[in-house]
Amino acid sequence: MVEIENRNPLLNVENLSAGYSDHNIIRNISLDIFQGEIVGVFGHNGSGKSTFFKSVIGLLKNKRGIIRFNDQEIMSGNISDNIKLGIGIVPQNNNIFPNLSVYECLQIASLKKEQFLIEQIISDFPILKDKQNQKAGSLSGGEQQILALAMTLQLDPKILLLDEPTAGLSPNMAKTVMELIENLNKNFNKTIIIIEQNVFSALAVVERAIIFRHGKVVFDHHSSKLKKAKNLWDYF
Amino acid sequence: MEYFISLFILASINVILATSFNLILGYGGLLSVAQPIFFAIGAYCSALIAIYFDIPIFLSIIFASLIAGVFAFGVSLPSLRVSGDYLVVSTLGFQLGTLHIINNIEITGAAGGLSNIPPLISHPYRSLLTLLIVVCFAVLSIWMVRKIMRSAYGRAITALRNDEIAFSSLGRNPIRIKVLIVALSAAMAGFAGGIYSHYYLYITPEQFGIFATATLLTMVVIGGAGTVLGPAFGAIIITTLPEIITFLNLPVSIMAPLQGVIFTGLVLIFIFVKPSGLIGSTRGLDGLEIWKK
Amino acid sequence: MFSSDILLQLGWTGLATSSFYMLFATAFALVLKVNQVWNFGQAGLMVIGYFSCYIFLQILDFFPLWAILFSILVTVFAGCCLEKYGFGVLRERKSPPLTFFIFSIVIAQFFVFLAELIFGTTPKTLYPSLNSKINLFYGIVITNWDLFALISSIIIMSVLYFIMKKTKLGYSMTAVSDNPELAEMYGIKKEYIYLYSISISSFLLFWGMYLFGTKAAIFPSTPLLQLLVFAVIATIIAGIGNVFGAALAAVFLSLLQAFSILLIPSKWQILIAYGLIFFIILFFPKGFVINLEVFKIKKNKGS
Repeated sequence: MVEIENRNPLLNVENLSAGYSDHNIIRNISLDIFQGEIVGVFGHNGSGKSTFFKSVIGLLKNKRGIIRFNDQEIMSGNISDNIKLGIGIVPQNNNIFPNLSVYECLQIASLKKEQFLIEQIISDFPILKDKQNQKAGSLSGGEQQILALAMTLQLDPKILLLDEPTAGLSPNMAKTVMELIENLNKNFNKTIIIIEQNVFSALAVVERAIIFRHGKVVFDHHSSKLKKAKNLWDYF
Repeated sequence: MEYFISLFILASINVILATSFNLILGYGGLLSVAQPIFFAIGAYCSALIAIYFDIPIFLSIIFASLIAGVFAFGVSLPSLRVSGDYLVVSTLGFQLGTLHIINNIEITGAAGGLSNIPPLISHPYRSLLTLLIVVCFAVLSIWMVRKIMRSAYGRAITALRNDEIAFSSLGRNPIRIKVLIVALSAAMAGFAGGIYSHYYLYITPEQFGIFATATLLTMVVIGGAGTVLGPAFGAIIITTLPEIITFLNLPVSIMAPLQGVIFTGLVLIFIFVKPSGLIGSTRGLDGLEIWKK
Repeated sequence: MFSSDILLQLGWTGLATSSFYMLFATAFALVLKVNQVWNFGQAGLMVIGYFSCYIFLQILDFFPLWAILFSILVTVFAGCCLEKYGFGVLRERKSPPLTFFIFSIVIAQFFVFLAELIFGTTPKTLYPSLNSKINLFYGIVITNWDLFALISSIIIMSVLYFIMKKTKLGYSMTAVSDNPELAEMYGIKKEYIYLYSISISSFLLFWGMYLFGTKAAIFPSTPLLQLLVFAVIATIIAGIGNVFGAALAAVFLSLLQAFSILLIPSKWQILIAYGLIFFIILFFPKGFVINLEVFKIKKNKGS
């Protein structure tokens, strides 16, 4: 593992197995995520990356093992309460309210927080400022990702779970999104876990890399180890 | 004896009706609340054709059945073009509208009902012969549905159920299939209606209202939607069992709503406890849940 | 051909009648938008609301205010049970839309039959006398009922508009209607929101039935055979998801029905509604999209 930490982990996963109906996708994984980390989660399709995220927010009912966030246990089937503990998630798809305006999306995202955040977020994201009256569903893919990220930030989460934030984006837009994520970690001390198919672009940003294979963690080290690897794909 | 024969004729007619409804509900995955009205169109049209035109009764039943099919085509095409949801709305409007018309025009006998309908068979053993004929048609309707569902057309219906988008992308037209199912089913219901009117010789609009819809739904859901024999089984149970409470000699004003409460209550219980119906498999892959994605 | 007095009178009567139609339409459209269910079971809630009020007023002889309050509670409770133990269970089970349709229609029929069994098939009124004081205003007959019905409906609709557009509950309902799974990821409990929306809908239905029942006698089957269809048509005319558009469409339908008496004998009037279903589905399948942009409060002021 990366290093022995003396402090308490922000997210603590112990012997987690989870999946759909009676089929487990992830099997008996244990890991800790600490405050301020930026972690990349990699693996082939079906290796259990998204299932891991779903377990963390309590979306999956078929779950064994324990997930603790900030020392509080995550309960299955109670997503809204789990989110209130300080978890922000940007799902890969359907991550905005397509029929509402950009402003309304941000407004809904901030229902549980103070109103002033909206104005701040809008000024932080110039792309959104110009389009705040536009329907979210009519934004481009990259703009939608940025909006989704901005919406999640309204929750002022302690940890951000980002599921393939650059999927389907142009290289330029993907770069912008990645810079934004890096900025959130470096300058706002947000703990971030990113699932990414584009391993190289993510490795440029993350400090720690975790690889899932067939529902198990097969690699969990500093990202530099993966960067230096001669044959990266041997790990997958 | 005559009473029991009459009861079994009604049960057999209901087998045809429930089997026809199963085509839409069980196999087509669509809800049309107007099936009793297609039955009514068959009953009224056949009776009126037989009264006003000098043609064999059996032909008038066939004509009436075609008319019911054409009406169903006209009602379902515009709504299915938009979405399956709209079929419920348009058939609800069609049922209430048609009932209102039947209730208010002279030619149908208005609310008082239509009588003096010529019988299908004029013979001392009229009831027994009718029973034989109706049982044959009931078996034929079940066989027909089974045959359809095993044909290429049936496979198309199943494919449509499993994945409508994939089905459309193969160049097949899902709306055409759905409209044809609704029209065929209505024609079968119309045929059953024709036989009904020429056996009982008296029909009133109140026989085809919401109570009839509830009864029909009960037959199909209890028996097992999407199974070949389930609805027929349901039809026989739902037609014969209530006869037990007729021996209580309750007034009609209590009897009708009591039956309504029992039937709709049964449907509610089956929806939650056994959506596969009595005939459906216990794996939950039959009946209403067969449409689960 | 027709005197202006007659036209004004018909217009006023249509408008007054629209008071309950708009409540029914809004109730139906709201549940369709937020809970995403074609709630034909609405007719069952209307039966429950009406006959519970009938019991409190006529059988238990309660003071009207108490009777109304208790009936509201009964209707809202029934609505919540319908959502929690009916639609909620089906949603959890991921039942196909077909099952939702059958359930919602059958539950409506169940309560109609139950009411017929308990109260008989004869029409019932909420008060022994339905006479309302008549006022003449420039030759137009305006009853106290007209004024009470219209004013109370307008107040209720205004409060609902405020809730939908200006409160956290309204925003939450909008979020759940647009993307229920995502709404949960922003801390909104969708199950609660479904209950809130059906509670509001049940309240609207009760008040609509109360207004209707203080004007005319009601058969147990009236909500299912007559009133529900109006709500459904208004919802389709306005375009699905357009709650306040449905209310306006209900006013339009009510006026259309009132003026149709000039051309169509009264016994055929109801056919206009049924005919409209086909007209709308055929020519305006997405509704007229009655847009309420004009009323929209500018939210981005100062930003």
